Amino acid sequence: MQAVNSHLFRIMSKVSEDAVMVFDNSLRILHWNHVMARRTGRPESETLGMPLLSIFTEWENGPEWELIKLIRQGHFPDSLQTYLYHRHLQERILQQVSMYPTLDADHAFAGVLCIFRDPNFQDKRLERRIALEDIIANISKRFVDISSDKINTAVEEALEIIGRFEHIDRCYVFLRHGEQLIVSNTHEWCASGIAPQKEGLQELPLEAFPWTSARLLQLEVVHVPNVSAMPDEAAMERELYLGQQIKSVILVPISFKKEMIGFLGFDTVRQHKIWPEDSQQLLRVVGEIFFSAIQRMQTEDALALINQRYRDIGEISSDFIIQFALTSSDEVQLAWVAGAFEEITGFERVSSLTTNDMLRLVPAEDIPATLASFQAVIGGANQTLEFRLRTRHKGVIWLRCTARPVWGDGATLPKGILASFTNISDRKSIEEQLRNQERLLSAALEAMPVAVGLRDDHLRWLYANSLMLNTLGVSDNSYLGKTNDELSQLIPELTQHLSYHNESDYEILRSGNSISAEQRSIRMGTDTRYFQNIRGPILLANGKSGVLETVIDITARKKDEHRLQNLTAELMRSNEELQQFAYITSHNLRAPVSNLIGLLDLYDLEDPDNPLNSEILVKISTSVQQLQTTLTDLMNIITVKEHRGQFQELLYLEEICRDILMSIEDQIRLYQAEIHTDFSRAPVIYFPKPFLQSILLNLLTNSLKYHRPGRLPQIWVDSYEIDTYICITIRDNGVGIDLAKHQHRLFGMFQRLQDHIEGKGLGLYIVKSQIESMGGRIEVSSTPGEGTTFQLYFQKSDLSILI
Amino acid sequence: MGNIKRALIIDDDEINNFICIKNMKDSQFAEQANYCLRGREGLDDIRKALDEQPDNLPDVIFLDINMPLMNAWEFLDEYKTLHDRFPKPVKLFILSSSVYRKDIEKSARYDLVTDYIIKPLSKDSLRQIQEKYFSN
Repeated sequence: MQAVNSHLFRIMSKVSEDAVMVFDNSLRILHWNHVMARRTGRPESETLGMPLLSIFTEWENGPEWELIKLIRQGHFPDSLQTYLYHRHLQERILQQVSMYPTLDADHAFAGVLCIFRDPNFQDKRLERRIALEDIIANISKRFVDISSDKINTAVEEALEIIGRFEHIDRCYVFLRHGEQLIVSNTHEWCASGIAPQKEGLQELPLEAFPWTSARLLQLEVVHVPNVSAMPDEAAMERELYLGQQIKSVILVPISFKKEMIGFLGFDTVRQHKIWPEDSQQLLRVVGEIFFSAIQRMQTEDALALINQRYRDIGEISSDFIIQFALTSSDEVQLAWVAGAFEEITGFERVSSLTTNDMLRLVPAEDIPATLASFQAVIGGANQTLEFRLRTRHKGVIWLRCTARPVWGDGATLPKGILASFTNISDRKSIEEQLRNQERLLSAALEAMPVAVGLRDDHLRWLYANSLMLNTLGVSDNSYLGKTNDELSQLIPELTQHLSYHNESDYEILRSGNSISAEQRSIRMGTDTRYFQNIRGPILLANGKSGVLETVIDITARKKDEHRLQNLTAELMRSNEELQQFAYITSHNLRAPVSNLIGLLDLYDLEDPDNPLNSEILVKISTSVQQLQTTLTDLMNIITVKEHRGQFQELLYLEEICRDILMSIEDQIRLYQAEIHTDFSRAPVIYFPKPFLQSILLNLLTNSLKYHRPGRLPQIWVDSYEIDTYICITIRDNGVGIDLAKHQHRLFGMFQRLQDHIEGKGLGLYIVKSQIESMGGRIEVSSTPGEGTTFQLYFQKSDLSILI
Repeated sequence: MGNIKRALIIDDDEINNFICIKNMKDSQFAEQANYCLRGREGLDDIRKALDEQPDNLPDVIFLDINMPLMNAWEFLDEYKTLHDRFPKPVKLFILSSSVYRKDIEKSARYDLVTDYIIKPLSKDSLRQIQEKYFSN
């Protein structure tokens, strides 16, 4: 009987809609029904055996304690208002508590039964609704932070919770296939003893259930409390449900943007169930929670797929990619790594790697740039940076990093950074080598004793080493990018030099041939210098042709060359003179000697009175005279040859000429010659006096001797300056010389061109020798029958740099 | 002797010409000896003889090298053009005071030059010439 009572009590307590609690004589809790659990937020397992006052702490000093004392004393007092405290909701709920004594088998006092009633409890359904709201709120909360891989499980768990609460046998979700009118069962929960149906409910056409589909597509809830009572239009559905022994069904559409995209369903097999209106609305909310979760899951799946593919691509690349996640505290955490991270850095992938960890691997000198770049990306900009990284095994390498921010939905700040890293050490080392080579080359170009310049295909200056700048007379980089024309505006003295360049530079570009030339002093106003200028085509980095110019100062060599040339000329002249002397001695000197020998041979020694002897003596005398004159001429020539010792002095032409004319006064008078002199334009020369006297004497007497018969001789003597010379001209109106015939031997030794004039043929030879020995020259022009002009060029001074 | 009818001396040096002619007379080198002071005169003389009286062509010519207006070499260039018309052999000698090697070598290159004789033209050298070139 006791056992039957106890069992009965438990059933009563379980079905009771009141909160029921029992505690024993020692104030420990013996019974705690499910309504107690719901109202306090404490499950039965937590409270059984616990001291009463540890849960109802306020009772010890409250009216509740008085009530308990009265009951223990055998009274049956009235009920009392008290509170139940909900642990999670942190709410005090006002209750009407009634207490009753419980007795053991011997009718002794054993404990107290407490029944709590909500004094405001009006409708049982309201409480159920609140309970359902609680459940749905919990489900909703559960879905907020859920990771996408747990969504499917969570949906099924939620179905179970609702199913259990509402005493449902089968809860399920159907989702539509996109815009098609096809649905599949995606999630399912079945009460124990109920067979799952999901497998058989895939890709069902909605048109197979026109009655249900029509309502669902209108977003109406399909509520069938009694399947048997379904109308005939729903015959298909009715047969389907009855086949599964389903008594009641409710289908709740899930909508998105006013489209039916699926539905929730709740079947009962064991009993009929009527869903109140407000519960139906709550089920719609559940549908929306599920839908948004599932949609998020699908989106994230798609994203994950993209990410995976991205990573796959990263893995096969020789670069590596890192996605960093930005946390709220500005801490940057590695999200994932793909690609040749290990190969490049030598480190293993560590999921806890932060940017700070990576920064520790960056050499100090690269940190500022790296940080600046990093900040820029966080600020929302794309960045490309080259920096160095200390690797584990391979020392410091160069990385090129391309980074961009990763944006969250509608966020104003990026939620992460996606960065791709390429090992550019090889390129950097080649660049470094190139730079070194360039530095070396540049240093070599600077150190060479050669001026080097480079111009592009438009003849704009690209480069000039310092020697070239010096040669050009440019002191800064203003020449760069300028054409020769522009440069010559900068330095007017260059004009001649550069215009010469322009033409031949273009020729070099056209023909591809080099040009080598010698130049005199490029820059005016400085000492005369000589340059060897070599220019040739060169292929520039941009693939076009340019002109490479090298200029070597060959002044010293040139001066040596000149000295050598002068020496050679001197030697040749000496040699020629030696030959001339040999000729003179063998010919002209011998002529009178031969005659003397011949004459002496004819002299009649045996008969001194032979009349022929006196004739022979006259001829001997003539020959001796000839011999002497020839010897005198030779002496003159020798003097000229030894001119080097001659004393040069400033000679006033007027004065020298007057003396000469005086010495040949007799001849002038004889020929009735007129002599005109004008030395006003160049009154003085610097020359050995005896030479000038000899020259003037020779030429003036020639002019007199070779006058044209029948015409009174006139002679004009004047002087003027031309270039570095003083020129003296002696012009006559004499017979003239047929230069076409005689020019080649006019100034030769012992040449006599005129028939009727006595001469030894040495005069012009001596004149020429005397002028040339002092660095001058003599020129002649003549028209036969009209007259002859001799032009004598004397150097203004002997400051010639070349001798 | 006596096979040289006529000798012609071409030289601007009158003393030399005096010596030559005197020696030729004394040694009976030629029946007749003349001289010209210019190369041009000598050529005219030869041309005139060719045109009018070829017998009057000289049998032997003595030619000086160094003369005004026309020297020996210029003379020879023109003389060569006449030579083909000569009806008899004419021997031409360079007569020069020059012992200059180049002069001697140059004259040797002329086929028309029989020999080079150094002044003065003595009786000895005349005899040698006669023996060497006219003794048949």
